[in-house]
Amino acid sequence: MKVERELMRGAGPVAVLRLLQSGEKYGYELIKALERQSDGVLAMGQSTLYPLLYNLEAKGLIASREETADNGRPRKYYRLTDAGKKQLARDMKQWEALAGAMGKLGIVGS
Amino acid sequence: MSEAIETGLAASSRRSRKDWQARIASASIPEETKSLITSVVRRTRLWKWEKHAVAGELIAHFGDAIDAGVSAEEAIRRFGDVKQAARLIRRAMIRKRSIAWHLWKWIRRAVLTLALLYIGAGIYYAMGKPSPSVDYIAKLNARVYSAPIDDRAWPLYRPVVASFRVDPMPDAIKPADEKWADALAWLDRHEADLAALRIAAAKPILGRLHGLNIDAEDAAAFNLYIGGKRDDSILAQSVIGVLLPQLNYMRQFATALAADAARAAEAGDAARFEQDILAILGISRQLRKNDVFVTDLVSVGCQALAVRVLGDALHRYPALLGDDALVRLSHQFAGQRVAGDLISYEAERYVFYDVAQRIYTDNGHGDGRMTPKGMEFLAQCAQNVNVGTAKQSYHEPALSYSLGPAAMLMMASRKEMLHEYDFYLDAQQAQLAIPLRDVVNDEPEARIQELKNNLTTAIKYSLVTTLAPGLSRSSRSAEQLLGQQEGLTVAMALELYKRSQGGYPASLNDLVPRYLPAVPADRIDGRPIRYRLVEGKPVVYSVGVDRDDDGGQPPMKNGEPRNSTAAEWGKTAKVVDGDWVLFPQP
Repeated sequence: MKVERELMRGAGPVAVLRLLQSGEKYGYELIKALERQSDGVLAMGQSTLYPLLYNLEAKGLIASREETADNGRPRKYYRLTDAGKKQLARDMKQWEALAGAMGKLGIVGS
Repeated sequence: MSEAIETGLAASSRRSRKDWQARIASASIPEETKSLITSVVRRTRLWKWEKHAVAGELIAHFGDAIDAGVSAEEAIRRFGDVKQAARLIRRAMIRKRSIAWHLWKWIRRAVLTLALLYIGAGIYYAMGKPSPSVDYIAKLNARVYSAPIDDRAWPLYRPVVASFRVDPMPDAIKPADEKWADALAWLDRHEADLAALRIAAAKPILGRLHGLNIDAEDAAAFNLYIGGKRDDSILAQSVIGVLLPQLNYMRQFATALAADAARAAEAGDAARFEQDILAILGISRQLRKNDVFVTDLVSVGCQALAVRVLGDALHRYPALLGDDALVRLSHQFAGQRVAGDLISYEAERYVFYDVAQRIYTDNGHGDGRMTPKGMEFLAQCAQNVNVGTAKQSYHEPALSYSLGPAAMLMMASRKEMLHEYDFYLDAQQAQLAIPLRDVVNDEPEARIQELKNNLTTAIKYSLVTTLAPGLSRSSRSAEQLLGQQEGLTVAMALELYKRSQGGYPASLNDLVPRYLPAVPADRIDGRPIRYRLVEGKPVVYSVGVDRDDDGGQPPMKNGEPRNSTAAEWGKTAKVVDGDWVLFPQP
């Protein structure tokens, strides 16, 4: 099942922040993790991940570093910043509240 | 091996971060993915080093996909739309740029927007054309046109203008003056002119038509239009550009008559003396309250001259004039109690309204905006063009078109400007109806000062602040004249009393009502005007701006009396010790 673009716009950043909570990741790794951990629901168009990462970086929620991988290819690794951690905590609370409200309305859960 | 090569190239590309295409070309990924990356990166239109970074990330992305066993075609399919990717990447990368860059971007945008707006305003400004619809010169001339030819003095004055221009009067007005002998000879030469002046001064109105291009005879008399070329500039066609060359000559006429009166007084010729004084007063009357206010100022000046000459004669030759002559002359000043009886600002409104219709557009509802013609007009006014001699144009079109839109945007609209001016002029006109001592707050002048103190309003209402000031000064001149002629009227009443009673009265109250309708109030403090005898002769005075009775002693400076400073209203910061002596004038 594919999520509508507008919903994805709200869910994408928090999903990425959540994935980075467990440690730094590079782009393709994030894409695969999103696909895998959301059973494909949050699988975003791959081309949209990188702008999303750049936006989060511009907001100071994540930071990046470049490192040459084992295969000799330079990669960019992204990690959560302190601001990103706080933002993630806030976003998760909001999503919980939203999910609770949706549950009460019978839209999710039951 | 290939990995080693790629590593080497990657290191090289880090050293040369701007060569993003080389970085893609050197990547060990399928050609079709390279093409896609190139297409995406090129479409981002980012800076070279940003493209370099994006290219590196996408190379890593496709490399990882290929390494994970995904085919190049599938990796490209999963990547998504190239255009959208480029657009989103560009937008996000730009967000990452420094605050300074973003600030600079907004500054550039603001400057560009302002420039476009200014160009738009410039086009709007350039399209504006004033459309003067009211002939204010005709309004000024209306009274002349409505008067019978025989009531007009100007046809009689005009030949005297030419005569005085050809043979100017020496600089002497009384026997004590250095060139008095020359003046006497000049008066003899101009006997016929003086006779003509006395006849002309008795006419009801001056009757000179305004406007440079109206009267060829005037032009000849004043010797205007040098080279036979007339001034057709918009300034010359406006009320503000209307030459008032007659004023200089009217002042000369009054001076000549004053000199002749002084000669007559010295010679004991009472009839001639009275005729000359009446003629000066006639000139003053003809100039009064029918024209722009500078004309009123000359009127006040002429009457002040008559008051001084009459006062001097009364002091020096008390027996010169008979009782009837004294009564006749004192009646000349009857009914003149406030500045508004001597001056009016109403015609001044024509000047401003005329300026407004020549610099602003007219939207048909009393409003409009600044125009290039208006800027030309203001430039001419600012540079005090010598109207009437058809001189060069001072207008700089390039300057007008570059500064004009700013002027249009910053200056008040036609309606706002007229509203502000009307407020000022109405308040000034209202103040003329009361003695100056009763003007508690000079509201109009305070308003002008308020406008000047704020840069925005100073620019916005620059036309008002430029053209309006000066009116208060004229009301002070009128007030001073009123004080002086009240002093003279009291002195004439004292002379009549002395002739009748054999001596001067103890108090001015003794003159009322037989010799004086009422004792005039002191122009400064409102109490009865002061009087005392000094060496057997009367001195009539006001307490002056220091409001302190100094026994009729004027302020002194370097041993010389400085009478005028005792009556300078509005300059209270420099209050001087001494009285304002009204008779005899120091």
